[in-house]
Amino acid sequence: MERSESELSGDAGDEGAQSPLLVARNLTKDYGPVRAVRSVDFTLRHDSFVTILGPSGCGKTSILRMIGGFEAVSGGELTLDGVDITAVPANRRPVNTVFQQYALFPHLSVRDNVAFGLRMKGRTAEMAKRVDEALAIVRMEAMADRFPAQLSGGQQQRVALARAFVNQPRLLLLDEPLSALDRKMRKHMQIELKELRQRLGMTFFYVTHDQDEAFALSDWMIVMNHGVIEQQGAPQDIYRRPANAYVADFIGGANLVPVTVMAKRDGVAGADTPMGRIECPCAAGVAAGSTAFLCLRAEHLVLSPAATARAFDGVVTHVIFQGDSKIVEVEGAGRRLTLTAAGTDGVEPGSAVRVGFDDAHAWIVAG
Amino acid sequence: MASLEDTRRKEFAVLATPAVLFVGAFCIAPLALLFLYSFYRVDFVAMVPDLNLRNYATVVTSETYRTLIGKAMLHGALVAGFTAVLAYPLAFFIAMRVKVYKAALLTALLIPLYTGDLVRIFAWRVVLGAEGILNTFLLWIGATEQPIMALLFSTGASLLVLTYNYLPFMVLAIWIALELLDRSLLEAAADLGAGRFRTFRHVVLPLTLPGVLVGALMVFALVIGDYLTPQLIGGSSGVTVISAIHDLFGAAFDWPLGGAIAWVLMAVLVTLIAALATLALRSRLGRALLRTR
Repeated sequence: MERSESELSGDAGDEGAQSPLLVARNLTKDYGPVRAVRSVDFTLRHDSFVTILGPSGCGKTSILRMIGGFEAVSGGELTLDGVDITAVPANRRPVNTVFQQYALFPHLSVRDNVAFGLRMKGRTAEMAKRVDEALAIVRMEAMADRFPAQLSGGQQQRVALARAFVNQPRLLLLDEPLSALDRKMRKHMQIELKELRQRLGMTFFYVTHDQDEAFALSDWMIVMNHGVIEQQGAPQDIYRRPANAYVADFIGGANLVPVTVMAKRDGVAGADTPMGRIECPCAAGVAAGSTAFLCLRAEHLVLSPAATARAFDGVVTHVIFQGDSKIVEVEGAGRRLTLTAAGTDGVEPGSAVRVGFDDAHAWIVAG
Repeated sequence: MASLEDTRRKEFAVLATPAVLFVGAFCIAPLALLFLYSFYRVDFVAMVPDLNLRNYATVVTSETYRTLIGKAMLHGALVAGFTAVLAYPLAFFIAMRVKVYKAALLTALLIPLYTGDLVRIFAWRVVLGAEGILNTFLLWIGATEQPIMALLFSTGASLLVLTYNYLPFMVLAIWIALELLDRSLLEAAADLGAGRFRTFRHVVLPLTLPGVLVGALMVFALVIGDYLTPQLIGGSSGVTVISAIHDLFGAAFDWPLGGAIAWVLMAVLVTLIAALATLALRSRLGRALLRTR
């Protein structure tokens, strides 16, 4: 999980001699005149949990459906284990899918649903044993003779998972599989999914629009918007060093303060900000002389900072109670900034506060 | 205070009353009367309320009536089978492959139903008759020396026209079942390695069988009740249980026996349909599927 700081973005590089599991090159999807996926490149490593994250309509589901073989590829190519699968029909791809609404066969029992893939491939000899194993893994042995309509959403979810992984696919595709579950069940299933993946040693390719889910699950994240990949990398790197203002805002909703970049050298930018001149690391694409954004995470802004920190005055506009902490909205440095704080007794709308942050947490992205 | 359920019940009562009254007054009451008559006896030109089971005994013991009822069942089942086989591919095409012209195709399918029974039947006579289109064509290409008389006025001709007549009902029933089929199940089947044929065999067909069953029951009942087609197309083979009932009520003036046959026929039909429905619902799958709704 821990990655070196230098690996900020780009390809999910081949580790060691192992070749990548799946390579997408210039992958493009057109629906009539609408280009949903615009020539994207990415690589999936073996034995990893990859999430593809983006708002609805960003093209993430189209990518999953192209890998699954449910949508024709409009341009570019897909290679799985070195084999070009671009034109291979869905039923001949060594890939299985967990569908958003599960798509369990209503006329088949849980056992027959899970056995479906093995039966289609003629693996009837080992079928009973493997189906039992798969049902045991998702703890649905006791429900084997029930029909999908007799199961709860969470149970259907488990059956859908078992039905997919029992075929031992090279790659398991999951299309927002938890979106139909309630919040508590979702959290629970996230943990189960992560454990399951480690146990199976399979690569999961997981589509979601929920960034918390993406953070909770993935080793590698692909952030999409308008059919292009905005950034890909380890979750902590994407959070700490977003590639641009879109990612900074979409992932974790960073505070973005417009600044003027005066100089840039070796990935460090010097910029004039409303809080004075700052020198801090910056994303690629930030150029001297241009306007960029200082990216400040809510948890890095503190009230009543130590004397050493960079600080400015502000006025509290909103306080939102969150249980263990509060979200405080402050007007300061010419912007509305959001920060999270614990133990902020006496802070209420209208109070004057001093807000500070440590330069070590600063990061500059291009607009 | 009225609970929501009470309100629902009242709503239902108000909304259902007109239909219940209509059916009750104009269908159930005459049938009940007929049921009563079926125990009467005819004395010359009068019906005598001398209640006994003689008419039912006649129906059950008479070779003729038993054969007629059996024939009606057989023809109903045959036509239901023919229409199912013909309708399935068409319904499949309309539901799965047609996008833009779906409404147009379905309307075209129903156009024959807008013309009357008689018009359609006589159109078939024009095609099948001794000097009809088909025979003229066969004579012209030299496939036959004499017009083939059996094209018209035969059981085969009767079944052909009945199949034509009731095909749209079957297409509609199957089409609805196919439209209701969740398309993601087809993707799931492909995902799990099933090709087109096996997806059809293991997913599409079993899930649309209820539609076929509904269509079959409809066609079955309609064929048994069809009076005109066997009369006008079937020729000497056109005697059906319905025409027998008609004769008894008309020329023969034996309403009690006619009523008894009608009620026996109805009892057989209802028993058959109830048995089928019970079988479908009692199955493990039927129970499971019902629970979704």
